Amino acid sequence: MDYVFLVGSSICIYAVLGVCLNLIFGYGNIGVVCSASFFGIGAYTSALLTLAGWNFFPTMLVAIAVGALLSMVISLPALRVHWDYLVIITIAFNILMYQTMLNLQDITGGSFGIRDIPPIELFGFLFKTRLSYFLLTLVFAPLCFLAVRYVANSMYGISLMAIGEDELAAKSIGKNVGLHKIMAMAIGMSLTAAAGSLFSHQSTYINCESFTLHDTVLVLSIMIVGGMGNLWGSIVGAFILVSLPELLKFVGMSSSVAFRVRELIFGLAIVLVLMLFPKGIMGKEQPAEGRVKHMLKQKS
Amino acid sequence: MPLLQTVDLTKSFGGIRAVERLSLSLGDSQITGLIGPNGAGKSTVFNLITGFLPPDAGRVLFNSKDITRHSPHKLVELGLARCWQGVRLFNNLAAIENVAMAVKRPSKGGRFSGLIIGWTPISGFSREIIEKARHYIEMVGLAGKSRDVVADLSFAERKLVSIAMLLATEAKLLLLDEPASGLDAKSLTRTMFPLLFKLAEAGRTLFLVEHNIELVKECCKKVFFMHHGALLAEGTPEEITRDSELKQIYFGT
Amino acid sequence: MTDLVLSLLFNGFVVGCRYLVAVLFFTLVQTSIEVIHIAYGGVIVLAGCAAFITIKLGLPIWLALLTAMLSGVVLSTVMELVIYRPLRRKQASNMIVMLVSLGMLYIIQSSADLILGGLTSRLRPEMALSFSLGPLVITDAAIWTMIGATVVSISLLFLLYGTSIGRSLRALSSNRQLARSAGIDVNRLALVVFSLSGIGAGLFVILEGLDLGIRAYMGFDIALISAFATIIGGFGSLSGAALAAVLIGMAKDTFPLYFATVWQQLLLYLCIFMFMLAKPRGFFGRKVWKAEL
Repeated sequence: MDYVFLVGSSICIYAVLGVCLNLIFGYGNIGVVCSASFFGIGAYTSALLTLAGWNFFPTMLVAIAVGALLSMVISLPALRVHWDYLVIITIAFNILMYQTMLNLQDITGGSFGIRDIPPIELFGFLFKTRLSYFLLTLVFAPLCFLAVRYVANSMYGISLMAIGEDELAAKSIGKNVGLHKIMAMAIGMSLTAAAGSLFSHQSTYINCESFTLHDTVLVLSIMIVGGMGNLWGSIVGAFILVSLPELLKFVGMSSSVAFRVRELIFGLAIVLVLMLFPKGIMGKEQPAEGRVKHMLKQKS
Repeated sequence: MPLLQTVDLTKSFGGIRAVERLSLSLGDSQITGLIGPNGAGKSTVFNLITGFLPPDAGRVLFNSKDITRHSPHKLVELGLARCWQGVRLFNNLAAIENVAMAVKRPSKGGRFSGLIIGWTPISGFSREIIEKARHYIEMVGLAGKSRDVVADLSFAERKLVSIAMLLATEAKLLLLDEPASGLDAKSLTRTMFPLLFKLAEAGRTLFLVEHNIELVKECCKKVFFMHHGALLAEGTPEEITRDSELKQIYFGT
Repeated sequence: MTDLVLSLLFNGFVVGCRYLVAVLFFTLVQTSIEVIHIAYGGVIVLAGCAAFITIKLGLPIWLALLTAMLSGVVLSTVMELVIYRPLRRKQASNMIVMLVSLGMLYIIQSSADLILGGLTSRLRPEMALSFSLGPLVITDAAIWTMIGATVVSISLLFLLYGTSIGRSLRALSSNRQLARSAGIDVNRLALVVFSLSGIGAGLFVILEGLDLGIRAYMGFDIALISAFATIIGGFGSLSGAALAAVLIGMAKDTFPLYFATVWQQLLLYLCIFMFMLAKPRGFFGRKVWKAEL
């Protein structure tokens, strides 16, 4: 049963990652492929700070701040390159971050990682058990989802979507494209880091192998399978893609084989969904008709 | 005092001089045309003026203010907006949403007001913005289609939406890139000509790049003729179209 | 000490030449059809599998080269017909195409890994033949690599500047819309370019097999290196990409000299990343007017 809670909490956390990426990539069409790096930064931040005696919640705030600041490193090329090249550049960043985590042994523990991470303590309650942790993620995930949804449906979010669709048209009606993109990345990546800070307390141990390029591709697959631009879809995508390998392990696959099969599934998911269901498994989220009807109803 | 002025505007691509020391000025509340054979550099001039391309040399002045390397969104704020030749719209949105996107926002609240306004989970457009958008859609005559997703509209209707968007920015100077292209003669005379006049009467200044001589003769008060990146002539449409040398350049031999 | 530096530089140069073989084709595909063909790594892996099987059957290396090239061409053609062409027809954005390409790489890579089981296969069990030239030790693999790189470079130059197909490719890369309206058949050109890249994949995999051996994960490595080289070399520039490929190869080999093993990768990627940040247009990139579509 504990195992189910573990998978459940992973689903919640990865759902947040997918939703965040969806805001940046699905709405804003900004090709960042480095979610795992920000996830990892948040995780290491929280792990190290809690080990130094901090309470969990402030570490999450620090992780958010770090995520936002680090996102500026990605924002700079994003503004200058405007291109599919950004995907390649962020992949390089992802690998770079992984290498940094791997090599800065004194801080990160390299591939040995960080151990004995204290469990989360909030309002005097200690989230020691898998169940309590799972329930915590069950609260965290919807909160993040609502936050991103709020942003996506605000005037800013709609502008971001317009920019994602046609940057030149958006510029010519007065949208400050650069600012919108910077903000999208800051919001998306800081929440990703926040999820990371939560993640570091899932077990008492983290290491850099959770933050590789393959993990970023998992998040990418989650976004694609659920539908780019479809926030609910990312939740469904997370559910499918995180639980699937676990089911495979149940069927008796060895761990290393399951790892390969998971990658195979990523590839298949990405290719099949993008070729056959361009709008993702959930289809079009909100047809304009419905949106406009609601808008015009408000007027009277 | 000319509303828009360019001073020795120059731009090269690789070894090719696309725009050569171009100096022109536009008067207020007028419709002015920019014509010339293909490859004369007209679109480049547009892009240089509107901040989509940085010039190699020269200046652009708007209301006597130097706007030479300003980014497009800043220019819209200052009152200079353009539309695109192929018509660029947000295809997944409805017509009224497209126009609402362009409606000029009240400057109070700063950049982040977009996040705070509109807390309803469905739509971020406030009531005022929708009202204004509706007004502009009616102005271009598309009231009945305001709810239609623009991907489903005809090319002429899409053009009207993009003009409505231009209007919504409340820009004083509107640059229209080939407004006549893709329109049949009937749409032109019935819809486009009157619309352009209406805009000029409402106080907007229009600057058009155009290939359609009919429209130029009908609507423009002044015309600039470009060739090989340079300004060859300026005058009324009659003067320009009567000149045999220019005719030869334009239509070729 | 300088002897060591020299030989490392030389070895790096050879590695760079090997990368060049793959990079040139990768860049060719990208500049002509605007596809960032990340799945090329998968083509290379499959070619490697074909070569591996051929060698396992006891057949000579040149036959392995042929089977590698052949399978490369077949897979590339299948990719074009089944994936890239429909996407082109649907007018999918470059981003989508690249994601699909990445997906294909994952599919091929992980399948190959599942089947091969993480083996590394050297193409020849015996030690490579080599001779000394001053401080340098030159293996026959190095000679073949340099010959291969030269042949590929010259052939591509000839293709681009000496044939009508090449002219069409150049036209396509400089101004797509104009080229299309001039009646250039993009589909036919795509087939040509992809087939060529398949041949290149075969050559690359044999060269790599002679040196490092065929590894299941080699697809990723070379796909990423090719992508980086294309960016560093500059948009639309084959010579830039070639130069970048060689430089990356040399960096990979000389970094160990100055930096401890653990830091090599990190610093390599740091350099790549910083370069891309500082000079997004690369060495010889053409000024791309972003408003042009």
